[in-house]
Amino acid sequence: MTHLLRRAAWRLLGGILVLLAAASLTFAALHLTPGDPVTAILGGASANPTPEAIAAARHEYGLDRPIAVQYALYIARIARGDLGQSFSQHMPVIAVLRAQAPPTLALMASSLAVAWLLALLSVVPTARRGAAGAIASTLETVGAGLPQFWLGILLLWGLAFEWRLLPPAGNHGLPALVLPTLSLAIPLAGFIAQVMRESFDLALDQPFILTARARGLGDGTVRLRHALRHALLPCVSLSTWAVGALVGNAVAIEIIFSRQGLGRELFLSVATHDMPLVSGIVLFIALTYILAGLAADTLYVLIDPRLKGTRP
Amino acid sequence: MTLEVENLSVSFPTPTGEHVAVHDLSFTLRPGRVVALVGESGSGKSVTARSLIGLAGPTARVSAQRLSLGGQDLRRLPPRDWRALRGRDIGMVLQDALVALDPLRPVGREIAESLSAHKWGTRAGRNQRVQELLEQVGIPEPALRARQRPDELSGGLRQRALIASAIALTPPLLIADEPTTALDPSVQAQILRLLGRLRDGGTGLLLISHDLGFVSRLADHVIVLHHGMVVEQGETARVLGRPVHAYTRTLLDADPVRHPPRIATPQGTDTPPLLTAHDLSLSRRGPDGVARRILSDVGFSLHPGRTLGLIGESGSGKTTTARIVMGLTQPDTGEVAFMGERWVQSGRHGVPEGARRPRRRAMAMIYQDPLGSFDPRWTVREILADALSAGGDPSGDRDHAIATLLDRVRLPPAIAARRPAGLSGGQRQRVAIARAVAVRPALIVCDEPVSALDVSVQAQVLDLLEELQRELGMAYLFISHDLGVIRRMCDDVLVMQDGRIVEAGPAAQILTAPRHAFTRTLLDAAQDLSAA
Repeated sequence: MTHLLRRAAWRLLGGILVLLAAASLTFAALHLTPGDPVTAILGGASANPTPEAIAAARHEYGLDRPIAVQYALYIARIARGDLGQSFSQHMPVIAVLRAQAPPTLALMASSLAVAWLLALLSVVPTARRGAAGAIASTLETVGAGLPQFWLGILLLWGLAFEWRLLPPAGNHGLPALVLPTLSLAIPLAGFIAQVMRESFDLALDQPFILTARARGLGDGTVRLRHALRHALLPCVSLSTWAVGALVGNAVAIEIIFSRQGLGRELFLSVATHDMPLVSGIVLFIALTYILAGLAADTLYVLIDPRLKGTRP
Repeated sequence: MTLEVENLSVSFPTPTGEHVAVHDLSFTLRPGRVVALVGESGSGKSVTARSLIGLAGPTARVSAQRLSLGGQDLRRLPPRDWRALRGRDIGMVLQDALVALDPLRPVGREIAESLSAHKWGTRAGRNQRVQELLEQVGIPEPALRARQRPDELSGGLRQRALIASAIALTPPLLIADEPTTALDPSVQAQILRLLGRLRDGGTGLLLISHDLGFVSRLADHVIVLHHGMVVEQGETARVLGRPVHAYTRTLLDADPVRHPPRIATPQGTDTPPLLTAHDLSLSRRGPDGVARRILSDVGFSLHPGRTLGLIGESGSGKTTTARIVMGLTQPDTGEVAFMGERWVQSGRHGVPEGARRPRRRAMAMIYQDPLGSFDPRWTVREILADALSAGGDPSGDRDHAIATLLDRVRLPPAIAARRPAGLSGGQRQRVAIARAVAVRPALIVCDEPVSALDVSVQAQVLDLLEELQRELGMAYLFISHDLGVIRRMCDDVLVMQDGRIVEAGPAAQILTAPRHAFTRTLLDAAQDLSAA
């Protein structure tokens, strides 16, 4: 039990360090970007703030103090959960996150789920089955190579404008989620399927598969009940990476499909030098990534109980 | 239910033409009888076993004049009927339950699957049956064991669990493909008794093995296979007692037990020992965080030109001892001296690797499977050239030195251009030996050097090690679980149990008149398995 507690403590510490690193990087970015941070805070050079406003902001953010003190104040504020005020939106960063995160999280979850579904459908019935396997494997490689923004534009043109099957833009309901999800999920499915196929093929060569067949088990059962589980671990690792990558790719996809969401918000806040919002979104993404890592660690042990106790 | 096989042939298409794996094999297997297929790797034993349950693979071409089970013709059986037959009429046991059972699932689930695959009983009924089966194969605490995975069970328990999953539906016939290979002798003896009980209960057994001792204890009828051809078959006592074919005789003669024991090398009274170890101990923390003693107070000495054997079951500390001697693992207590100087020292004043380096080339190592110790991209020439330069070979003529080395280990010079992956197991082990002797060592640590080899290849490699010792005068620290091998190779023996040396002395005395109870258990197990 103490062992488990110690592991949990290490995990927590690691998560805090990652958040600290993300906060420090955004702080550095804020101070390293050319121009006066105050101008950036007040909405960029085009905002033409009054000298009084500049002085007030300078004092409010402690920018007249030494940089080490500024850093400490910044970290202390974040530690209190105060992410500050978004200047472009004229509302607290927390409120922006609360409004913008759900659509992006929904898009990420649906993309990951669809990618897994496509990968399973492509690999499980075709692995080690001659021509079918070769064709599916080729499709996976092609899928993995498709740029997501290009796929998004193609789907938008074909399914939304030409055939008018699905809405081209917006956030309303499931139909609006379909095209953005496919744009993100198809290339990701290619990646997951390639990794899954390799370990699935290896698993099918193992002696316990022969034992299972010698028991009178059908081929489908052997694949689903025995081989698949051995092929899941590397796919789970890949999915952790994908959670991070999906946020980045969501930037282009949310803009193409005019969706609300963190990706688009991140793009807009960078464009308007809205640094409090940028750092708020970056911290949120870091937190998502940490949680994804925790979830993956739990899944590892569920899939392969032998890993229990071997991971620090 | 009788299995009748007449002129069974199995072939596989290859880019260079049809490869015939089994050619015209015929036998009959009746309930309560044991037929053994004997031969070396690649002789077609396993392919035969798989063909009998329709699992030779999608590319295999299986043909037979007769292939029937209880009157049912198996030759053009549709897949559905094959599935119904597997597990119910014919069970199958493979070698090494660690990988022959799904390593991610509890063994109870695996056994229950043999039942559910044939829609046997209810869930509760199946769980009940699993407990009965585990008891039947002699596993204590069946309720607990059923919930454990193969890696949580000892080698003997998991092999029994594998057998339990094969006999779940009490199939009248059981195929056992190398059921005891890679197991400790005492575990082998237990499995032997279990299979004997099944036979006495009326199960017909097809036993596949390269171990003639094991076969002779169980089989009624022996078939000797060589490159897919039957070279000899008949009643066990006749085939093994009065073999007709030269290949059968080769196999029999290769059994180390048939080789005369080693005549102990005289030990010069005034020569100082080459290697001494004192008071070696080591603890390691397990996955649960609890420290375990894996080595306690191990000490011995080895004189130049002599061979010291290290025997004991897996996990008894043999390999750990070898690693400490090699200077690869630092002990908690104790020290090792090599060539009269400090070599390993526990504690903070350990011997730095720099101090060992001048003597490193005097100590070489041979592993069980050398493949992992070769760089796969290197040719044999590069492997040996590397070893020669590490040994400070002064001669300018590298090619000549390599040719001499290959000749020394009885390999043709053409081998130099090949890569290890393309060599046979025996050739690979010879290259490993050539690499070891290239540095002109005073000591070679041999960790199970022949355990992965076929019995006839084994005999050749042991011959080679003996000859090299006579020619070059090296000492061997020789680890093996095979007492027959120890008997023919070693002057002195250390018997290890749970990290301690329980008995030490001259091989002739320990292997004939052991004093410690554990040594006697080891010898009895080996006795049970030998061809007698």
